[in-house]
Amino acid sequence: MNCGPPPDQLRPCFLNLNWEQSMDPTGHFESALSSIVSSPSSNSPVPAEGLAVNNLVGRLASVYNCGEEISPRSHHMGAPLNSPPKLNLSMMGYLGHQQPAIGGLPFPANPIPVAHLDELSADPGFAKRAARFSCFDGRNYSGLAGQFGLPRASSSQSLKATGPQMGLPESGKAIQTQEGKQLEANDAEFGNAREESSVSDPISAGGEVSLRGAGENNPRKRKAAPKGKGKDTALPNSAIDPPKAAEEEDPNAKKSRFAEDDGIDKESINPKVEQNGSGSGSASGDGGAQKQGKENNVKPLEPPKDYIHVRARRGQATDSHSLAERVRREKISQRMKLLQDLVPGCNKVTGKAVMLDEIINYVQSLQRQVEFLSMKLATVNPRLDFNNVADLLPKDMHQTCGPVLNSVYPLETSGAALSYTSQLQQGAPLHCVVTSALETQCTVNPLDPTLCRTLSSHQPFINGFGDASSQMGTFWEDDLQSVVPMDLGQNQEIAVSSQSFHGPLPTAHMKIEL
Amino acid sequence: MPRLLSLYLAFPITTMQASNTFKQAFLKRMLLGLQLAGVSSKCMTIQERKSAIKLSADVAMACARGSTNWSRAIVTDLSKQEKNKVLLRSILGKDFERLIKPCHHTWKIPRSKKILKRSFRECSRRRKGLRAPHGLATSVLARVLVKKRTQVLKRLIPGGEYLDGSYLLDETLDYAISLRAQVDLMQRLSKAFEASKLGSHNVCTLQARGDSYADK
Repeated sequence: MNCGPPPDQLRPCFLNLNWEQSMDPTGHFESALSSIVSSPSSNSPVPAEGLAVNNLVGRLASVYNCGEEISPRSHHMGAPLNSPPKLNLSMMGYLGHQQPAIGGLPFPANPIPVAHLDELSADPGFAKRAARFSCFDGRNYSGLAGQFGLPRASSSQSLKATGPQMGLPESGKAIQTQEGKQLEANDAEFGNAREESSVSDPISAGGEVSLRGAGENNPRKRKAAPKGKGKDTALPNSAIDPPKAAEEEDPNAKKSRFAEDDGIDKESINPKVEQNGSGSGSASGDGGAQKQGKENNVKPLEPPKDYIHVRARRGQATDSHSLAERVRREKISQRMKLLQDLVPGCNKVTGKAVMLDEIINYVQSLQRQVEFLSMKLATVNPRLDFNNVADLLPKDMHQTCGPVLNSVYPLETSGAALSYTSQLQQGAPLHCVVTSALETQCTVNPLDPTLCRTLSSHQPFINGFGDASSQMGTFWEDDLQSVVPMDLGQNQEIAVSSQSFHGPLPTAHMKIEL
Repeated sequence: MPRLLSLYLAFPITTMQASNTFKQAFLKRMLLGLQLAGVSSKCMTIQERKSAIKLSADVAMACARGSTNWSRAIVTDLSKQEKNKVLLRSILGKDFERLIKPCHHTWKIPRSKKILKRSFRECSRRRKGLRAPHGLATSVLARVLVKKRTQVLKRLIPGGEYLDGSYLLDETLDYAISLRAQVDLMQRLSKAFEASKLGSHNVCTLQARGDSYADK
């Protein structure tokens, strides 16, 4: 179409759209959009901006209805919006985010001269839609309220234009006349009829509002309102935990009434916004919705705040101390859940004390393993040149998660504990005991394959100690007493007496089991 | 929390694991430390060698992890002994200064603890009437147990005495993951050493057994 400025204004906005992510009927919508953007001459005699508006509204409406095909060339906007469009909230979110881009709806800065509104309002389909919006009054306003809750403070087009008493023919006129009105009055109306909302109403209402309105108030309002909705959608899907949600969800909604959009951008709007203002919003069904909204509320785009917002839950103390206490407790319980995932075998453990116990055991066993392994490394032949070790390790460096290829070596200089267990092969019951003990003990799993291997290897353990044996004897007694409390004197003898192992091994077994 | 999430997101398995970059950095540092500590020299006793190995392992872990409370505590504690300081400097290089310098975050903790205690006291005072009667004794007992165990945990985690509450649990999580990675890597190191020690003599058997174990 040959409209100059509006497409230019529109184009950059449209380029930002990621509609395709959220919308089903993106095909024709995108084609419609591209037709608008790229082919200015799609339509005719109607003044450029108005036409653009018409087209855009038509396209958006077509999206809403998800199934109706609107020819890009069509003026007729009556087809869409036959029923209150059911949009998902994400759509609203995108709409909100694309606020400058929601050409169908708002235009960046005064793009629609009032003159064109006449045109718009004259459009029969438009009037029909206006009428439809007029009957929103009795319906799901929680979404609407949420949407427009923010812009309450902003002076701009008011949805009052679509207020309940507007007749069909007057819709256009009424809209124009009430351009400057606030939305606050609408809030009261909406507040009176809170229910679970279908988002569609707000969005189309919002669309209409911005259509009717002119001036930069529109963009601001639209930005705020759908953004709130967008955040609503994001909430249930958010991966951020509920405590955080509880913190961030905003009692700033309270302030939002009186704040400008920019400040409001960060807030999540909820049906519970009405808590702030209208007393009537506490229908029981609503209470449930509010609570749920509260719990699920998260802002994915939340910029870091310098203080934490917490809202008191229903039936709980509201002073700052208990709120802080609750936040702290929730943080701790969240960390405990993570730790539950970390420590193997703690899925069924409930309660802080037992969980802490498990964590302590786990950390202690890991630390002991480190001690043991460092001892084991120390017993490696000192002639080993560490400069060449890197050559041996390239495979290891690439293996990060998979099990290491363990080879069986005659354990000539392996750690003393391994040497002990290798002698177990003579005592099969002990072998079973130890391996079963080790298997059940999560923390010793890294040792398990080694031990199994040593046990299954039938190579007699010989000269394991070499010159280190004497040192190791004292060493083991000093350092590793806690790890493997074995009777070292006996073990320095290569000769195996199973009795010597019966003693230490059960204790080792018990120790490992912790 | 962000660093927790980064750890959490860096693994393919259900349980948490340290990231690959961490493991590689750790290995590199550890080998460097082993060389510098002169573990290859014969004049050390087993005990000395073991402590040198452990030191380089801990330092490598702390360095690879970066700037966390426990990693800094490890380096600080180790550098308190003069004989280690030189070694630490040579291993860590410029990271030494970074890890040694005190973090402002630890100073904030005592303040918040006071506030938390106060709020907790007031809260419990307020709530006493609302608690179920039988729960009072058990809750007190539970609190005592938790307190005891928290103290033990504080002693376990390096630098944990100055932390509390969720911070302590954060550190525990981080530290446990890193410890697990450390154990895993030291395991592989020891296996590699043994393999090299055997030399070509057992290469065939090694490969054969390696294949058989690979199938496991």
